[in-house]
This record gives sequence, structure tokens and C-alpha cells, in this order.
Amino acid sequence: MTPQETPTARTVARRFWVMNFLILSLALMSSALAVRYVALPFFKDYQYSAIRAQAEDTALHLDGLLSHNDTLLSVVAKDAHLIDIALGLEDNSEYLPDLLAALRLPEDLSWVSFYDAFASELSDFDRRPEERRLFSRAALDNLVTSTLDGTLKSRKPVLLQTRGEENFVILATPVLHQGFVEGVLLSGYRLHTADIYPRNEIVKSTHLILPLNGLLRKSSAVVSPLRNFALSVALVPDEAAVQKAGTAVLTNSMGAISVVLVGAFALFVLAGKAVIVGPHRALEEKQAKLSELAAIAERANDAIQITDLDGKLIWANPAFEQLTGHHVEDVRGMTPAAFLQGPETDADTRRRIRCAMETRQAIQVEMLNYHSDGSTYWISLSISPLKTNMGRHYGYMAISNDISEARAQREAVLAAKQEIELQALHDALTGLPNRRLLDQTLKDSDRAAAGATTIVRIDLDHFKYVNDTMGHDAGDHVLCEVARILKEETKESDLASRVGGDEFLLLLAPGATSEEGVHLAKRMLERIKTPKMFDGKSIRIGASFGVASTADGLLSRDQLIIGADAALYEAKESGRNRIRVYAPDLHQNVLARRGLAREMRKALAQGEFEPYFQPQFDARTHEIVGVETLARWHSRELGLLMPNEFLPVAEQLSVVEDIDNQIFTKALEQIDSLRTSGIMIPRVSVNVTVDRIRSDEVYGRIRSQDPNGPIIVFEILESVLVEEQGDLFHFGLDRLRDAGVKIEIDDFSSGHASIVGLMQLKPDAMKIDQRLIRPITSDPLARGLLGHIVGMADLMDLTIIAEGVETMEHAMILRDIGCHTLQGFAFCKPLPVEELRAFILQHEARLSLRALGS
Amino acid sequence: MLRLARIWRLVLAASLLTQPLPAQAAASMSPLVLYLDGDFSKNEAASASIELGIRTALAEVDYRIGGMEVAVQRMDHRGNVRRSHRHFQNMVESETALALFGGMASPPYLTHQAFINENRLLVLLTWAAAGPITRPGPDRENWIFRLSVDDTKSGPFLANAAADQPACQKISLLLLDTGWGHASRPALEKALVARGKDAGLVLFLPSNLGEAGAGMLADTLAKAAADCIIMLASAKTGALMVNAVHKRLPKVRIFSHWGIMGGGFVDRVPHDIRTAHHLAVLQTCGLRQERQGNPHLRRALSLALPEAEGLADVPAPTGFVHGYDMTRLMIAAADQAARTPQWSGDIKDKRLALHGALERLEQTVPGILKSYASPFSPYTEDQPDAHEALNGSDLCLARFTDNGQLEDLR
Repeated sequence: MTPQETPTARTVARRFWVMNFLILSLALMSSALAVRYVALPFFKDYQYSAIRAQAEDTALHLDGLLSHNDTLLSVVAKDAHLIDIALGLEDNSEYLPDLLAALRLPEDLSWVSFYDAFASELSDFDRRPEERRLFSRAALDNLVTSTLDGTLKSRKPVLLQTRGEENFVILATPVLHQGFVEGVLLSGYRLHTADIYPRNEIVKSTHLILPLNGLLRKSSAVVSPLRNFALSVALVPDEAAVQKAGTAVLTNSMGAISVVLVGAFALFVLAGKAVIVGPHRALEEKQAKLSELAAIAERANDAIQITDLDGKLIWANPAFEQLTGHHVEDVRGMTPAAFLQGPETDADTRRRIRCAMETRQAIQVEMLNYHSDGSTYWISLSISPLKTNMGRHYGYMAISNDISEARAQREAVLAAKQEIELQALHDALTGLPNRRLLDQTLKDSDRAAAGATTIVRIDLDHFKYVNDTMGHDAGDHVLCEVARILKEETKESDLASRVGGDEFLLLLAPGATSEEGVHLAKRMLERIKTPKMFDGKSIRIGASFGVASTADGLLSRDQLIIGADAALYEAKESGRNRIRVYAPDLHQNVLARRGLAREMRKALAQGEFEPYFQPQFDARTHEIVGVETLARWHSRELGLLMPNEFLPVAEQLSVVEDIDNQIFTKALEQIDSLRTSGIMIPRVSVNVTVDRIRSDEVYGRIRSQDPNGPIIVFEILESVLVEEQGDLFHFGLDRLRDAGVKIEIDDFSSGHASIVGLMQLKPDAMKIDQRLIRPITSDPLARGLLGHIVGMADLMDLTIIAEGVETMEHAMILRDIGCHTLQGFAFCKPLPVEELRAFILQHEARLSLRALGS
Repeated sequence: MLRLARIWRLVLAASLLTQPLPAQAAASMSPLVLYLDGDFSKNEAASASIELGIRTALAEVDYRIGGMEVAVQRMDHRGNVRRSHRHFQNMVESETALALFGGMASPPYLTHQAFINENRLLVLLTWAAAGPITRPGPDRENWIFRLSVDDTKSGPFLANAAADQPACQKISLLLLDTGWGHASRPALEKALVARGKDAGLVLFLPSNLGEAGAGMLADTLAKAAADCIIMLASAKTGALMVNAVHKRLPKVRIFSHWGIMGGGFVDRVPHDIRTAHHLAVLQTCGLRQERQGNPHLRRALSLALPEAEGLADVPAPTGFVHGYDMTRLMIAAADQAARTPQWSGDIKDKRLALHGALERLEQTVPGILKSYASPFSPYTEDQPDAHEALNGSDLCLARFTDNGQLEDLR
């Protein structure tokens, strides 16, 4: 078929729509005609039947209503007394109203009148008497008379009046005696139209009529007589409403038919469109798409090649020629692998491609290709199987592009990343793994599972000295030398790392024991101790080793480094160039410290730290001039502990300040308590750290002190003078002084205090270290030095306090040298407050006696 | 017993035969009219019997009294007092109505006694027993004459009859719940007390009594263990009560006033039940007169009902007997009155003349029950029986035969 003969999809669609529209229109028109000429007359007939049925229903309903009332009055009419009254045997006009008032009467009932056999009214019962007046006297008389007549009529006569929506009906009920009518009860009712006539859209009006009413003559009225009463119901149909209802039926029917037909046609159109128009349109679209694809393929930057199922080239685009350097015509019918791949092309990738093609799967790979000129390049290659609409495979399409450059960049990035990772995990100076890599390795669970873990902690001795004396280059040289030794002495499965300035840590291969660690450490110590040459100079260094192993069963893997630290600390403590293993004895020490720490926290909470007071005496008069406060720990578990026993642990726990606070607070309270015994301590000195000088809390405590209390003296270690102090320290010192605190330098001459430092600090007193005091009885040099120190202090107007005064001989020499205040066992050891109280009282008594004696 | 329809035919024939011909009527003055106020609808037998008695007596004088023609006009009150009142009013208006015969019910005459007396309407009662009817009280005229049972006599009569029976130790009273029943109660109770008996139980019968109501009353009687009953009832209520009582107290003796003779009683109460209760019915002594061969009775009966073998063939024979005797008294009085100047006056004068003649009847008038010598006299309180033609000695008890007729209870 030529293009001229082939209708376009649009033409087909237009024909299709026109045909459907025509069929739908015809169906709708024929349906409308069918409804108009068949259903509508039937519907109208049905409407009138409905009106007739309604008239009959209404009549039946009304008949029932009236019969009910008539029955009620018939029962009343049978009342014996009422009959006697009718017969004249009794004369009681109140009887009827009383009788009716006692009954439950229908609401419709308006009134009742009682007539005797001569139509004379005997009595009345009234609810709505005005309704009786709606009827003429003659009409009532006629009804009574006709009832008295006694002739049985099939339909009882009634009277009727209608006023708007209300109908007034009168029933006549005979009063019988032995079958003879001896009286009549007339009963009046008010019936609301709404109650007796159901609403209906096609009824114009509904009427109650008496027989022979004019309405009967109206042909349109539908009349239904009541069965028991001479009354009829007349319904006048609403012609317009009937017509309207008919129209509505026509409209609704057509609406429904239209919906159904349109729905059905819509389905048909959808189906038809899919079957008839759809393929045309799809074909057209496919053609257009193929043209576009061909154009795209021609112009694509990516190389596109089509092969048959055997992988032989059928078609390729210009980009293919450009990428490969081969003309399509030269290589058509060949498999691309034959002329594009070479010896360096990854064999595995080639195998994967073959496998994918055999299983008709798509695949994407990166592979090395060869240009026609022999050069190589990397491509990204996507191969997809091609199949017909029916799902039959007929070839493959391969799309490739040159990724040589991108790949080179990616490899460069990868190399850089590896370098960064290496640097992050290694020490730059020595090239040894750093702490991070060590930690990672330690956490390696595979390694942990392989056997016991052993580490050797190495700390170089005197390394700081090398740095300080020979410069950092020499230090770095030493470190690199040590690193080399470590590398050489360890196996590949060991890990030697630098974890700090001069600290190294060896992680031995899994399964190694602490003995092996010690053995290794010995080898390394020997080599480290060997002098190193730098810049023509010999450098001597040493090293301390701490060895810890999980194989000893004392430590878990997580605790190894701490254990090794503890061992290293021991090694350093016991002299340098030592190797210590974290053995049971060390483990016990650590545990003891840990117990002590636990007890200390409890002690702080329970206030077990107590101040002890060592009195200070005037060197000449031996009067008590003050006390030094010393800390003691009254442990419930451990007994009395001295500061050297608990302070190292307290420092580790950072609770020294808390202990100081507790001691200081208690000391002030206890000294204050001595007042009750008449004891006034002039000065109370306490040891303080630099931090406490700066503390706002301490300052606040001092400010709150009683001004009449003792003078507070803060003893600061001489080392304070050596270290450079900040502004905050001096600010704290000044405000304490302003608050009345005296400053005293403790342990003077034990360190490197300078005269300049003393001049800057301007202390109030100076306490001479006991190591200088103790030899004065035997060593003239010591005595001479002390004399100079006292002389210097005098120059600076400082009070000199000598501590460690063990004998009275010391006391006399010191007095003679010129010391002002003495403190030591020669006078009194440190005492708890109660013992202090006793001592002071006794001492004062002794002084008094001495004074009396002299 | 002759059928009622047949009686009617006879009554009609008699009236036609004995009525003056129209030509004769035209020649004389307008005929006098005698109203017969009776229940021709519900108690037809009684009223028809009365009419038969009246017409039989009138036939004997060719429907001429006091020299004037007389006609009988039936006035059906149908048991309705108001309708009787209409009849009285008609009579007031009438120019020819000389007298009104009344019967088979006391209420119309009790209720309208004053009206009757005030309007001087001459009323001749042949079947009404209430005592006060003929006793209007002091200073009142009395225009009602009675030839019938008087309850001031019948009460004591029945009470004595019961008291005479040794079997009657607990005598109960069953009375119609009407003026008649209530009026009779004191006389009955008084008579019983006089005989040393108490009226153990007094029950009233509603006029619309049904079987259920009768059953309840009979239960009450049974509880009271009555052994004798004195009953004042109509034929219908009486029959209901006897049947009901029979189921609870099958042997109790019953003494009944004649109210049950209004008609239909024997049809409703079988003979074995009547016998079981020794049912005795108050009557005037017509049956006894018949038994004793009273010639007036025979003549009257043969005139009235030639085919009748005896008084028992007449339904409600009491009405016939009383109607006949009363009419005979009236005829005698009219003849006597005709001799007075008033007779020639208007109807009111004639009534007045007749009234006077009745109270002072000079001749003895033979009747079925007895010969009446001065049966009436002017009424005063001292003469309470002045307008009573009969007295206690004229009362008898009767019983039913197996064919439902009454027979004298000897």
C-alpha cells in the first residue's frame, strides 16, 4: 500500500468518531420515541390508578376512624343507666357528661348530645361546643329523627361541614332498648385534613363529601365512598402535576438511558480506539520515534554498534569510527572483540561479556580497547540484547565511550586518598603507625580472637634533656633511630607505634606472652642505650619499659594500656633503664589504689577528713603564737592515714580541693570552739595550692569569717615562686590580703626559689624547710646558711618560722640565730582539737608556773 | 294456649263487629275514646290481654257507655315512660279521651302521677303494682284507680307465703332495680320481720341484666346460702335469674311476683327447673274463680275467645281478667255518671263525672274475680286503699303446669 492509499491515524480517528456519534444519536432518539409513545401513556394510567388507590385508602382510613368512634359511642349507648334515662326511668342530666368524662376519649371528639325518643335533647357533653353551632338545628333534628326512625341503613347518615383544613363530622348512634330505638347520641368530631389525607404531589385537592355532592359531577374527581358511613372521599387530580410528572418521567428516563448509552458507547469507544485507532497511532509514533532514534544515533557522541546474535557487526555510527579508528565498512561482519581487544584487555571482563551475551543479559563494564593505530584507551561499555515486539532476540546493541581520562583522574584521587589515610594512621616523623592505627588494631576482633595480646610501653629517659641541650633536630634524630630499632627488632606481625613525644608502644603478634615482651624489650634497651651520633656528637639516652599481657590473666584487653602504663611508671620509679611487667604484685598495688580511691570518695561524703593542729611557739617566750593545720584521714576501714598515703590518690581523683575545703571548714569551726575554754589561737595557717588562691569560694569563706577570730595564714609552696604566675593569681592574692589573710612561703630552701620571686610576692613569713633545720646541731655549714637566710629575711621584714624542731637544743640554736617562731616535735606533735585544747591549757599552766618561779 | 296472633285477630274482629257503623257514628256525637297505654312492643302479650278484656267488656255493652259510643285507642308506650307522658299530654289535648287504661308497668304512672292528678286525667290501672301510685299524699286529688295487685298487699302476701314454708329459714329478696323494686322493699322486709324472719340478702336486678350479671348475683345468693327467694322481676330478668340460681342453688324455693308473666318466661325456663324450685307466682285469684266455676268468667271467656277451653289458654290471663273487671266497673260508673249534668259537658266534665261515679259506685258490679260493691271511695290519707278495687284476700299463688300454663296452687 502506498502512502497515498494509507489513511493517516488522524483520518481513521475522525471516521471512527463520526460513526460512533451517529450510532449514539440514533440510539438516543429511538429511546426517546419509545418512552414517549409507550411508557408515558402507561405511566399516566398508573398515576390515575395511584390516585384511585389513594382515594380508596383514604376512605378506608377515614371509615376506620369513624367506625372506631361510632363503636365507642355504641358502647356508651348500651349503658344501663343511659337506657333508663332514655326510657324516663331515671332523670339525670349529668349522667352522660359524667360518664364520658370518666372515659378516655379520642381527641377528635368535640361534643356529644343525648336525645330521647322524641328528639328532645336530654343532656350534652362538650369539649368544643362551638363546633356544634356549625350545623343548623334542622340538620341536627333531621339526623336525630332519621336515626329514631330505626330503619337500618347500610351506610350510616352523617353530617359534614368543612372549614379550611378542618372537617367537622357528626355521627348518630341509637340508644336501644330491647331492640327498639329509645334515644340517640349525636357525636361531633373535628378531623384535620392533614391527618386523614396523605400528601401527594399529583393530587390537587382532597375533599370529604356527602353523597350527591357537586364534586361527583366533575369528571376529573376520583370519588371513593366510605363503607359504613354516608360519606365519600373525593380526590381532584392535579392535571398539571400529572403532566409535569409525565414530563419528569420522560426526562428522567431519557437521562438514565442517556447515561447508560453514553457509558456503553464510552466503553465501546475506548475499546474501539484501542483496537482501531490505537495501532495506527502507535505505528505512526513508532515510525517517528525510529526516525528520531536514527538521527540521535547518527549524531551521538557515544559509539553505537549493532551486532547480530553471533556478535558480528551490522551497523555502527560515526562516533564508533572516531573512537576505534576503524571504518565500519572495513569491519562489518567481524566480531568487535577481534579488532578492538588485545593482550592487555582484562580476560575476566571478556569472559563476563561472553557470559552475558550467551544468557541474553544486559551488561555494563569498563575495559581496555585498542585503537586501529595500536594505542590503548579505556571505555565504558553497555551491551543490551535487542528483541522484536514479540520478544524474539535478534542481536545486540553496544554503546561505548572513552573514559581514559576519567579513569586516570579516578586513580589519581584514589592514590591521594590512600596517601591521606596513610598519613592519618602514621607518624610523619618516624613513619611508624600512630596511636590511631594502634587503637584500630587493638580493637580488631580477628586479631583478638587469634590469641593473647601483649604490649610493651616504651618511654625514653632523658629525652627532654636531649631536646633542651642539643636542639630538636637531635631529638628528631634520636626518635628516628629508636623507630628504626623498633622496626628492626619487631616482626612483621608486630605493630610498633609512636604514641607520644618520646613514647612508643609495641603491640606484639597475637599469642605473644609477657616473657616474649620482656625479651624483646631487653634487646631494644641494649640497642637504645648504645650512644647515637648526631652532628659529630654522641648522644646517650635510655628507656624504661612497661610490659602487660592478657596472657597473665590480670588484665582484659581494654585494660592493657593502663596496665602497661602502671608497669612503666614502676620502671621509672625504680630507676631508669628498667623493664617492668604488670605482675601480680603491681596488680595488687593498683587494686589497693583503686580501693583507696573508692574509700576516699566515701570518706569525703561522710566527712572523715579531720584537721590536726601543730602549735607554733614564740622562739623566746615559748608562748603559742599559732597553729598549722594538717590533714588526717580517719578512715573507718583503713584507720588513720597520713597525707603522703592518700594525697597521690587524691590528686589522681582530683579531689584535693574537696579535701582542703573539708579540712579548712572543720579547722575554723574547731578553733572557734576552743574559745569556750578561753583559748584564743592568734593564727591558723593552712597549706594551699595556687588554685585555692584564685578560688572565689575560698575568698567567700574568708570574708564570712568572724573578724575577731584568729588570723588566717595561707602557706604556699616555694615552687610557686619558681613558676610564672598569671594575673589571676596575683589578683586572688591581693584580695585575700585585703581580707586580712597572711601569706607564708612553705618549705623555703627546698627548691629553686629566687630572691626576685620573693620580692615580687612579698610574703608575710617564710617557713624554712626542715631538711635545713635538722642538721644545725651538728653541721656548722647548715647553721651558717640558716643565719644568712634569717639575715635576708630580716632585710625583707619577713617572719621566720622553723619547722622540724626536734629537740630543745635545736630550739635554742634557732632562737639564737634569730628565728621568730618554732614548730616541731620538741614542743608538740600535730594534735586533734581536743588534745590541742588539753595541751594548750596544760602549756599555759606550765608557762604561768614558770613565770611565778622566775 | 292460643297463639298471640290469633288473639289479635279475635280482638280486631270483635272490635269491628261491635263498633258502631260509620252511618251510626255520624248520627250521634263524636265517640268517646278510651286510651290503652300499654307496651305493645316489648310486652305484647300483657297489653293484648288487657285490651282483650277491655274489648270483651265493652262488647257486652256494644261499645256504648253512659249512652255514648266509645272506642278503644291503643297507645304503645313501649316501656318508655316518656312515651307514656306523651300519651298523657295527648289526653290533655283530647276532646274525646274519657279515660286511659294503663298496664303492665308502674313507672309511667309513678313518674307522672302528679301530672295525671293535676290535669284530672282519669287513669284506670289494670296491671301496675307499685303501692304509691294510688296514694298521692295529702291534699291532692287522686285520679288513678286500680284493679290490680297492690304491692302494699302483695309484699306481705309473698312474705307470708314464704314464711309459712318450714323450709324457708334464709329468705333473700331479688328486686328489679327500678322505682317499683325499691318501693316494694320496705313492705317485704316489714312483713318478714313481722313473721320473725330477716331478709337475709337484698339484691337488685338491673334492667339490662345479662347472663353474666345473673350468674354473679346467683353466686352471691349461693354464698349467702339462701333457701328461699322472693323475686320481683320482669319476664326476661326473672328467667335469667331462675336459670342462674338453678345452677348454684338447685333446690331453693322461689316466690315470684307476677312481673315474670309479661311473656316469654316459660319459653326461657324449662319445666323441670320451675318444678325444682317450687316456683310460685303471685296472681289475683282468677284461676281459683275459674276452678270454682265463676259464670262471669265463663261468659266473658266465651265471648272473648270462643275456642278457649279455660283461662289458661289466654296468654297473660291476669291482664284479661283485670281489664275485663275494670272495664265493667267503668261501664257501671259511666252509666251512673250519665245521670249527672256533668256528663253532658265537655270531656273534662265527663271525666269528672266518671271519677265521681267511680268513687261512689252505687250498684254492685259482678266481675270475674269477685262482685265489686263500692270498690272505690274518695281518697284521703286515712283511706289509702280508697282507689284499690282489690285487697289482700284477692291474691293467690299459682304454679306452672308442664305445658307452661298457670294453675291455681291449692
